[in-house]
Amino acid sequence: MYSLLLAMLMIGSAFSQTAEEIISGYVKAMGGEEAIRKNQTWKLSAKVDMGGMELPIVFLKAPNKMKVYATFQGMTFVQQAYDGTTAWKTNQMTMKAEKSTTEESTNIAQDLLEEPDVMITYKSLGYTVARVDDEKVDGSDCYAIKMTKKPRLADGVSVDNVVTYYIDKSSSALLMTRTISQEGPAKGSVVETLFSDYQEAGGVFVPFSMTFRIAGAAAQTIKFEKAEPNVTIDDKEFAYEIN
Amino acid sequence: MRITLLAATLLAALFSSAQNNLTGDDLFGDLRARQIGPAVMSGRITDLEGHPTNPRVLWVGTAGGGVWKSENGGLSYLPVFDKHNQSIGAITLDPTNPDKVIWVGTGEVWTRNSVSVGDGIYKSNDGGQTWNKTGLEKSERISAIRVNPKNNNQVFVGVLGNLWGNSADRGVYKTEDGGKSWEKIFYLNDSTGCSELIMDPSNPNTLYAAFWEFRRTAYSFSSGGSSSALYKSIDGGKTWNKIHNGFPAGKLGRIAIAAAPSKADLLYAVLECEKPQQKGLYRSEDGGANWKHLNADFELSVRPFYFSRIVIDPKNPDIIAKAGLNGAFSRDGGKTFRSFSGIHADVHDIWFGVQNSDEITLGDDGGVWRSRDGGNTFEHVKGLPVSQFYHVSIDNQTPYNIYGGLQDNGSWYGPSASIGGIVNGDWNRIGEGDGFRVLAHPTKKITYSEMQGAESIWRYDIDKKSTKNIKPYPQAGDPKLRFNWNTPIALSPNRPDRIYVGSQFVHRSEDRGETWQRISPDLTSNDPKKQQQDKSGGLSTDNSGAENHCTIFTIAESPIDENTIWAGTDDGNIQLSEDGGKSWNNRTPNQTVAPKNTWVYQIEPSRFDKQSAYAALEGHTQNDLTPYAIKTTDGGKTWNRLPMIGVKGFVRHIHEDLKSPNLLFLGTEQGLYISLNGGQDWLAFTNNMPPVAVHYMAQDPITNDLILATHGRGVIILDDVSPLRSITATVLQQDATLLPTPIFHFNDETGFGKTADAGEYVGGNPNRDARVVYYLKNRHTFGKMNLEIQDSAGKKLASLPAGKKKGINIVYWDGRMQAPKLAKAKTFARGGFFGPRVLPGSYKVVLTKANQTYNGSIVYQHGPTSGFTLADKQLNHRYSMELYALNEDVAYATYRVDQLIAVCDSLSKQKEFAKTVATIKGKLDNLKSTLVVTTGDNYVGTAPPQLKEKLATLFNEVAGYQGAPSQNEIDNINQLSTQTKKAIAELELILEKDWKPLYKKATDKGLNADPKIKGRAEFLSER
Repeated sequence: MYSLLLAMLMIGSAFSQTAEEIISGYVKAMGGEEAIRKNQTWKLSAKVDMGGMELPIVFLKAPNKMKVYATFQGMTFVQQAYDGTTAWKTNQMTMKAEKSTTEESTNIAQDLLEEPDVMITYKSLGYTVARVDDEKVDGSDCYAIKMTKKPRLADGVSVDNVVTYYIDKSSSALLMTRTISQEGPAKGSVVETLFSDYQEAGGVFVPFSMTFRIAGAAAQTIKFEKAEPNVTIDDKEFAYEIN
Repeated sequence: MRITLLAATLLAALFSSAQNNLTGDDLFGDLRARQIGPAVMSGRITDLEGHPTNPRVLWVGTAGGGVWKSENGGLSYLPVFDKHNQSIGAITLDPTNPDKVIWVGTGEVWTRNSVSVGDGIYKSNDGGQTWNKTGLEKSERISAIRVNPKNNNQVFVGVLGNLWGNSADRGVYKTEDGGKSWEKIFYLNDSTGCSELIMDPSNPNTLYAAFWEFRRTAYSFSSGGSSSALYKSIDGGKTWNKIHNGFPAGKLGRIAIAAAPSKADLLYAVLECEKPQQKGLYRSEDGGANWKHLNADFELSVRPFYFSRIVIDPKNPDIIAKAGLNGAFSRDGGKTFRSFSGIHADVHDIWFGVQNSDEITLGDDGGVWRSRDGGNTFEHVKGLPVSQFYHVSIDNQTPYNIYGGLQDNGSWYGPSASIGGIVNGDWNRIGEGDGFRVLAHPTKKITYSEMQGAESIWRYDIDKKSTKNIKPYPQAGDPKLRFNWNTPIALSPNRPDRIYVGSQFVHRSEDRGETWQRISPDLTSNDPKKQQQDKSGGLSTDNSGAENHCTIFTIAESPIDENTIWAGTDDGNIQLSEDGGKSWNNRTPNQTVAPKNTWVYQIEPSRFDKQSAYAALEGHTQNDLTPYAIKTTDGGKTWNRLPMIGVKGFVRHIHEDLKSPNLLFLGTEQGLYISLNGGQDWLAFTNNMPPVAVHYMAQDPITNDLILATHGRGVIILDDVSPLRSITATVLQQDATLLPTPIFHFNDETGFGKTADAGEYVGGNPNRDARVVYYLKNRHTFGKMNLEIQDSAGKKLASLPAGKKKGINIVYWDGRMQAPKLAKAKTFARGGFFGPRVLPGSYKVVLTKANQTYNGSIVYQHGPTSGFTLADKQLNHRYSMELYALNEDVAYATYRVDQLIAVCDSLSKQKEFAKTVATIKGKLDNLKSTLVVTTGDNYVGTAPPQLKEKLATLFNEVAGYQGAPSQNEIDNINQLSTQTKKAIAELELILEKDWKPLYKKATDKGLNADPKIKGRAEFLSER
């Protein structure tokens, strides 16, 4: 009798969890806000599956700065970087740095404001969250949290910036994000990122595998080999002018 | 024996309970449907809705393929309603928030015989990303949704309702709370529904509602009656009055109505009535108080059940367009019309551009068409794969071709795979009109196709491009033959030249249709009351043949006994002959299994037991939407209804797997279901598979693909369903299990293919690479998970991205080793992107998940269709590996040179070393310039290729091909090999003669001259 009552209470509480509570659960499960905030910089070394070939890439992250570069045939090229002012990437014909569009710079700058984790910073950024219908992700029951962010720029106009986060009910880990592409020929397509292989690094859990899915079909997997927190990164690494 | 039986029973129970806890999403994992269209003929469009201000946005509602949205002015479209009912009645954008709030009413209202059924009204608050069903579940078909522009919580909905029977769920409904609750505000009777509802563009309290008395049965159609009428409300739907002043007396049928956006009191109505000369267009200039008959032209009065829509230009009230056989267009307020031309027939809706009335979009039985010159010329949208197949079959070629007939779009065949993707141009037309069953002769390049009640049955010789009509005629003394609109034609699985056709009789030909023998009596009920199609149609006679009844609908010869022939009829009979058609026994199930006259849609004789068969019965034409799938194990003497728990939609097809008798596939009006336990439990298959009507299925014995004829989303394929055969109760209980995979053969074709235009639909190809298949009990989330392919000695050949899903995971391997490590240079070499293909053999699969390791194997066999000999492949592999090693030799040599140059640069700062270092560095630079490109860029500033670039290019050439390299290539390999050896020897010489003394001298002086050169293996392992 008691167990039945307990079960009912638990079901009741499960349904009554708010978006904020679910997000808190996630933050706690990942190591807690303090631990997350402690890691000011990251160097993440990974391999991207290119269908038979593995492309080594490195993510560098520092406050308000980022860089992703790949190495191919011993040469590195920057796929995307932002130095706090300018977003840029390597032109693979000349192997020289070229500026990304002003819109891209603005959007990246905005995205970087979410660091170290949007689940911690969303309130201060004025983003709103709401629970939407629970869903299964790869067979795991998940809470779904819809986060409405500050609009981004596309084609010269402001467009929606809404991301739905799928948080595993049993572990509170983030299993997937889903958004709708707002620009280019894929405009309107569902873009999903799946997270798995969580391992501890720098006192927090980091997903060592990310798979991108467009319109339901798996497009690319990135497998992390090393996640190094609080590495010293020279600002020159990010700077457009120097590169 | 007893113990075995008990164990079997227990296992079955265990399996059943294991499956009970599963959903399809839990189990099917990476089994993903492949949609291949085609869009070349597209399919029936039911409703078009543009954005009120943004001309980039267009919404398209379809008869059976859901809702599609374009955000680029109608060039390309994405499906946005794939989790919901695919039969669309009406789409409406909330005028107060047209970017975000969208309403969709399900259930097509163009009520032809093959129309599907809806399941309510849906609302999206995020521009179509997600949808909530907000009620009216029993509405079956929704004709219109009107949102009050001053209060978007107030919405009016026209419900046409049931087509096949009485229903009280019809009329005008209203919500005041944005769809949370609904009130039926206007209702006439259980056979008359609201076929159109419009709101005065300037006054949301004024509404016009057309009511239509209508009914279909399996054998008749009736349009019109004394209840059909046009009503007006001026108080927001509280009270309604008929507005018939000027309308003809007597019974009315279906009515179209529109109000001019630029002049609200100007209305146009299109009437179906008793006298032909009074049918057609009526105009009112006083909000419907008075009507004037303007025009009874053909396009204005043709088939009102199919074409009752009239649309007015948003700016000019005298420009109007009317749906119709070809559609009609008037620039003088309806006095005169011209037809649209250059489009497919049967126009259902028209949309005028919001900023430019010259931009006209229309939707018909052949998809969407766009005009930019006011409807004079149209281009076809090539990217809407909403084709409505009635049937599908395949041939035995590699890759197999797919054959099928479509609603109003003839008969076609096309490939299941095509290099570069399956494009519209890959499909070939082999029949006209409404196409239905299409079959390929098992051994000759001949197809059979049928059109509209056997008006034609064509035998088409693909090589000669000749067509012969082979339909059977009555033999002397026979009555008139009754053919179903969707006449059954069937091949024998036992005799290649044999073909069956069903009228009320079974006809058989042993010579590909040259001569016919009637081998049965009338197998139907032959009920004369159901054979009065000449009186069908109601106010507008409609005897197209689509209502022909008391006919045979399905014929199937047993694959294991040519004398066992099953026939099913549209009026509910199942008949069996066990002596090759000499005698027939009525094996109709009793009424505890299914109600009398329930249509026998398909019979599937078992491949494993002559006495066993399945049948799909469906009663929707009797207003019965219950799913019925039945099975006999005693030649039809008794039938059992399979449990249908959780199955949505009435059943049109049941398919028994070619190899596993317990694996069954069920096609219903709302999707695909799969049973792993002989039909006791069913799991919905939803991975890239919308709940679209599945009319027929075929299966390829080589690839194990399941091919679906959908009535709204073209052909959909489940590639290789064989993993489902391995799912057992034991597998379901293990944390992870590597499942057996078939022996694989690589596709050795080149990658050059066709291209498609922007916006053109391209169907995906199957991935025929080697597969690693495993089942995971739970999703992998924490800890590492890796998947490797190793050779027999345990050497890693490839690392694959492991799937992490709960259920079946499928990971593909292209049979290639990792790419060679190439030298660092100034520019990229155009090669070395992939590794050599392994040789046929067995390869180890090693799956590591956290601390557990799972071992399996996959077998690669040289394929008979490869086009190359095994010896060719062996030669290829040998030279590819030689080039692989040479590429890495150059990479290592270059690395060593770079390390030495770095030390030279450092030492050159020391005065006493400067000269020596300069000499050595000069030698190294020279050497390097022969190893790799050291100047230029990756485009037109490229420098002449050196060893690295030459080797990489040659490697790509040789390893990218599957056959033996040419002598020219072999000579080139030898030359480059010599040059590589020479360069390495030169490096060794520099190291010995120049570097060693320098190193000693520098070290003696306490300087760091260590080039820190890694061993070759270590260097190559870093990628």
